[in-house]
Amino acid sequence: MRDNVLDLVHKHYATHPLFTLLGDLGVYQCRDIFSYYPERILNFGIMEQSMVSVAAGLSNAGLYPVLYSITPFIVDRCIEQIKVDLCYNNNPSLIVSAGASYDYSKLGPTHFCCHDISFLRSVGVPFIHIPYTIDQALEATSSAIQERRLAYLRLSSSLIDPCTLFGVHTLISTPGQDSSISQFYRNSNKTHSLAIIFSPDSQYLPSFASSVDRSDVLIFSMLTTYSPLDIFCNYASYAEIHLYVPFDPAPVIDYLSPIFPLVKGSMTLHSIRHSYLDSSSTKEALFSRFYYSQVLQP
Amino acid sequence: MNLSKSQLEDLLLLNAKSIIRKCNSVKAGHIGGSLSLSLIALPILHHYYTEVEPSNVQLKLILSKGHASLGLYSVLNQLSIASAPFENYCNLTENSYHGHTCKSAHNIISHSTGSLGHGLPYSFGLALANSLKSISNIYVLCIIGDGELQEGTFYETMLHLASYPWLNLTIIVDNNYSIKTRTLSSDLILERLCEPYMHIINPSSYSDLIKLCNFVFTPGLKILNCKNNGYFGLHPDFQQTRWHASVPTDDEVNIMISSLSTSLLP
Repeated sequence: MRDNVLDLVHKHYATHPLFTLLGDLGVYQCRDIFSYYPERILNFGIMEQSMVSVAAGLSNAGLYPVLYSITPFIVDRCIEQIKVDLCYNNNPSLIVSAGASYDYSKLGPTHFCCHDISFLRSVGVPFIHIPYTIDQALEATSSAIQERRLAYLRLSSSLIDPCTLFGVHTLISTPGQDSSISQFYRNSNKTHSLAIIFSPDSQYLPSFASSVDRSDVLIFSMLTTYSPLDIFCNYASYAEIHLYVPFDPAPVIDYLSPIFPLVKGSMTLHSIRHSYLDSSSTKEALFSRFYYSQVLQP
Repeated sequence: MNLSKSQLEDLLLLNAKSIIRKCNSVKAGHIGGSLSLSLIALPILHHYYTEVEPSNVQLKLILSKGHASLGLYSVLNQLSIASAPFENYCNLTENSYHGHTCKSAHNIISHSTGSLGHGLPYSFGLALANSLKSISNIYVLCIIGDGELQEGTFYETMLHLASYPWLNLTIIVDNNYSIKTRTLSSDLILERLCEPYMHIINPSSYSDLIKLCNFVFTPGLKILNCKNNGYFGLHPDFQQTRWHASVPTDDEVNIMISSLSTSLLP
């Protein structure tokens, strides 16, 4: 996923004022950018905090910085710089991280970062993309660059596609293009089962509310600037609601908790990413607060 | 700078009194850093708005020591550049400006700051982008505090800046010797790390303040160690570290104001 994304970033150099900052990682993968655009890429070195602040300065002057490092380094070390220099000062940049959650499980806890989403949401990063496939990663990259967003793109080595895993439909919607979603509802079986696969980079469209009656399975990801809950006004009509929670679940659970009492039947919380070896019970404790029936291992 | 020595002294003194009184009235503000900043910011901004800006030169100011916002806002008010940030400083109304530097206060302020260590790398990024775009009429001025020299980002940024001597970037260290510890010496740090680009400025010297103003608008990378230990002639009781963030009582205000030196620039 990472190599494909960095290749795509290179392609966008011709048409967008990009500037890539690397935390001494991804240097080889960006060799083409170093060759063709040496003045617009910098291996900033093992100085992630300054790297983010420098990105803010570049952004303020009209460039669009793309930052890359592994997840714990770019998020944990730089949370204040992201909060102050990027979010508070509104300097759009694309933060690309690799090694989500426990992808680097073999390297031990210093290289885990399953809380990046909740950290970044709490400081106000408006666009958080968690692609499950390479295509989704590329789409998120292009849209962030074209729209000049302040965005976080969380890449993972595990290409678990929940659509294939759970036999559900895939919708990749983009703002303003709701025709695919309307078509989905027209063509669905209209069963009494609703599956929601939730991740925070959803492009919720206001037209959802008017087109939802009964649904079959629905995957969407959530822009943090929109509330998805409005469309689920008929929660009680579903015999089952399956929630697939793909990351550190605490903020999502809090966000969705108003609908839980309305659900008849079972509710299942799944943690999609199972590539970790950590035996922490923290996730279990969080899940148990919200009436879960079981945690399934796919 | 087209202010005479006595005109500048008068302005600086008036401004210092405003800072002290405002801090007391709103019970907020970092008085020590604001006073020392004002010695630097007032001549620079006066010079900029009266002599430099008319020739299509832009100044991007980053007050990395963002807690000195009271000092900056009072200078903007004193020079009649902008009065709202000073008048509404921490007054808890809907028009209030909070206690750290906010870029919404005036368009010369390029970055909102408050946590130390952010302004310098940001300034580097800004100056670098300007250089890439071949923009030569924008001068970036980053004012940092001596305490801020302890932040790792200072060193991280300096490691890069050593390779960019052509950037239109001036870094002023408002060195008011606020840090009292035997293991850290701001002068030594600056001497050893920044020597190729460093100049010493005595903000109590009129001729050095003229040099300061000229430096800011000279192309290239400069680091100016402003050794600011004059404390405005304040009584030693007011030169303690508590005056980084303490608010003077009414009595202390009167003592402070009466003890301000009338000869700031001997």
